[in-house]
Amino acid sequence: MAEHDEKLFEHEFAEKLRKFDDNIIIPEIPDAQSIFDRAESEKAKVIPFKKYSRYIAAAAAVVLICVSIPLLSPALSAEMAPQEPMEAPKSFNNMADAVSDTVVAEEPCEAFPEEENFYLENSITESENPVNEPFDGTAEKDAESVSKTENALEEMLFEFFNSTVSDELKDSSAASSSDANPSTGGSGTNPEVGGAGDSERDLKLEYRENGELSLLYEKINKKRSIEIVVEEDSASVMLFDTSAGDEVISAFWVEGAYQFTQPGEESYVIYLSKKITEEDFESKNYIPMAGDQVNGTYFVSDENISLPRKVRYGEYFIIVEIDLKTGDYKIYANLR
Amino acid sequence: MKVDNELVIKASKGDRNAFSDIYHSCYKDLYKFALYTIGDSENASDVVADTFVEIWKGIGKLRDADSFSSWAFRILSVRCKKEISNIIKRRGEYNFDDLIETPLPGSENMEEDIAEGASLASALSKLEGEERMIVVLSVLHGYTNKEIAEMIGKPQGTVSSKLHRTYAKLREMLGGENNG
Repeated sequence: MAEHDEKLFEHEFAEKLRKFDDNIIIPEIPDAQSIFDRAESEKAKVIPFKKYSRYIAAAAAVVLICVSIPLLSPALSAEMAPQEPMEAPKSFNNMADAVSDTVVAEEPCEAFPEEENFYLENSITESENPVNEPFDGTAEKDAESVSKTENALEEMLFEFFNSTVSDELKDSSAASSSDANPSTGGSGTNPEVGGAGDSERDLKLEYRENGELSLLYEKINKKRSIEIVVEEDSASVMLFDTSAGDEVISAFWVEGAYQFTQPGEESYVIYLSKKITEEDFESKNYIPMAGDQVNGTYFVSDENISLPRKVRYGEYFIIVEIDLKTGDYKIYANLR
Repeated sequence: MKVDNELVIKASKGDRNAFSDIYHSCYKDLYKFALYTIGDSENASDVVADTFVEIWKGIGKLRDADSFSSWAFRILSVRCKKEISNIIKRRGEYNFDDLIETPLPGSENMEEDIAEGASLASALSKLEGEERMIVVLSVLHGYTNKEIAEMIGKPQGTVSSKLHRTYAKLREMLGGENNG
């Protein structure tokens, strides 16, 4: 009976809403040309590196040559004095690397290609691309497909998990795991955490009436700001290029209750948690989900999920690492 | 929101006339969605313009013309959420004057219609932005919970439960007249 009443209400509400909708006044539609003009002007604003890349590359090459000459001299003379061969080449390599890094840093950001403006396509790397298949718990990890760099990063993050983060999360989750109240414990951006733009940090937190964090906005540095809309069971993240009129360079959401954030020089890390019940585990409905405009909703890649052998269910600790330059993000989940 | 796939394909190749046709055919639906979510006509227009700029910039990379509508709503929902937070930052709150003042047609029962429209608008204004998004996408556009989940960037289960809770709220607010 109650179900019938609900259906009846939904039907009547739909009719009224449609009637109401029909009467909404639509303002005069601006000319489509205004859209093209704005797109052009915004494109022009976000590609300064591309425009000057040739000059930057030429300047870097000159610097490289200038640095190389004095460094190469001892390297060449080292052939005649083999007992001290490595000093000069090593320092040369370091310098060359430094110069090379500079060149790379000056290259146009992948997020803003000249012809095709970046459109969230880089928000997840191909190697971690969805997955849209539920994790069955038996699939073997293809270790060879994961690059050494990614492995190193993974190890670093999981090592981090197993030490400091787990301690911090124990505190925060102890306060928030049952009621997910981020206003206590480890919630909010950790004010102790340093990182790029310490002096730049402009943190704004907004809370709901019940004290739960609802929105976090942070100016990370001169070029980047981030906005995290915190929901009960997920967080929506937008990374902005503040040097280009708040251009959105990454937008996605991740399942899990927000815990805290950690800005770094090159990346920004968000920590979340997700409780797994026995029922979830039995039904194999326990892999965290995420989503973005390109990939839609997808399950976190099983390559990035760490499952303990003994614990059958418990709580995921989820790490989201966002590359501040490109907006690419990686999600790691550790069930404990 | 129905969009001709041919137009999407042409626009994705840079055809401005095709994009202009899409723009004019979709504007109304996207504007209404933004108005329901933000409640303010001027901000809704701005958000829709921002959305169309993003659509034009990104349409060349859209892989599937069929997914144009959900893709456009996805962009708009992200923009709306951002605008709501901006409005709250600027004004401390956001209101729904433009939505509530929506006039109703001159009909035989005009007074009754006005009262009904006002109570409906008032009830909508008391929902959270995301709840309005879900209701509008579900009721007016007929999208499934799965499609809405992808558009607003939330798990499907969250959308289902939010829709259910939203109906319960609406029923509580409008219950008297709808059950009577």
